[in-house]
Amino acid sequence: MTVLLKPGGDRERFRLMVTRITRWASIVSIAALILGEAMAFFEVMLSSMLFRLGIGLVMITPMIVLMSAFVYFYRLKNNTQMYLVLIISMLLFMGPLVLYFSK
Amino acid sequence: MTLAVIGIGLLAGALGSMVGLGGGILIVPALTIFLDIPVKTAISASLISLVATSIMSVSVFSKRGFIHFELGFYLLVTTLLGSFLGSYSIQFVDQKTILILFVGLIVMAIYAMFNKLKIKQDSWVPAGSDDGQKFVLVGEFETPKGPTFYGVENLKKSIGVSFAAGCISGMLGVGGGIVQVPVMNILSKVPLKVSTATSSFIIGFTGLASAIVYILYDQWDLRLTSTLIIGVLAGSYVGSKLALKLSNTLTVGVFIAVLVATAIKLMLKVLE
Repeated sequence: MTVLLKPGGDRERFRLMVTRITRWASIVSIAALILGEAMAFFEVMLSSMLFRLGIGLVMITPMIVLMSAFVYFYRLKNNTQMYLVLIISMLLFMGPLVLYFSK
Repeated sequence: MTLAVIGIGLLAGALGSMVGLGGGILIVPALTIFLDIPVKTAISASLISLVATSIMSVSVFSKRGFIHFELGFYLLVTTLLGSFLGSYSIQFVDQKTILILFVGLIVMAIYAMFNKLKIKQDSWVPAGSDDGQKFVLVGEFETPKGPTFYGVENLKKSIGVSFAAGCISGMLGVGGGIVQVPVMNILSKVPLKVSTATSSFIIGFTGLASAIVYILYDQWDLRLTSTLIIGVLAGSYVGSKLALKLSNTLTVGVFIAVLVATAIKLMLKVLE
């Protein structure tokens, strides 16, 4: 491994992007889950949908971060190794689906 | 049932975040012992709640610049692989064996907690602008004296050991922090705060990867998971505030006592 990533500049932009994505995702998902719980208490039908929205958002956020990193490192163009690492990580997420359909 | 799940999430989240270990190690046994929930369903709920906790902590850690993203992505590859293999292989293991494995993990956590009491200062290598050239990865860390650079040592070894962290996470529904934080701090000489933050970042991905396997194998309960997330997030918030006020020895001591009680309860359940 011969890559040297110096802090600052692009890293700062990526950091801000991740902060924004995770902050909004956590706010919206918590709001959806709490609202869902309140609706479930009053036995409103909508609660299941809100639970799914909250959990769906929780589960999709890491993928959004990974995709953003993918785009970010692609734009940098000088970091092939990191780009490869991200491609492998994304491919690994396909693993369980392959296992499931091959059983 | 709802209140009991919120209560378990609240307590586990608070205690876990106070010692920086995450609540998973208490959530799974508590759900299994007190609510008689099948252990694999409890693990999947714990994993998804870990992802939620990770997203929340990443938003805070990232804002303060504690996460070393490149290091996180390097470690992610083997951690992901481990979590897949762990979560897939556990599908063929019966409840009793999983509970015994959990007791083993708790013993490991107790040992880690005793070590935490002994270590007074974390180890990291400051790197000047010239030194930066000899490291594969360099990070920036905010200290009271201003920004300081540190070098990441033994990256290849850390990547290898992270596989174990992934396996544990996927098999038992806990964050891999119990392995990953000491690996980053002691082996790679990354500052403790950065290690904890980067580990939180990785847990979001590994938790998701393992949770997908459990969902695909129908070991999942939507209502339980949703309720648990609310409790765990509230608990983590309370725990992080309490951690600033209480002494480290007290919180770690309480956590060890809870872990010992949990291990005994689990063993009794196994022997039933």
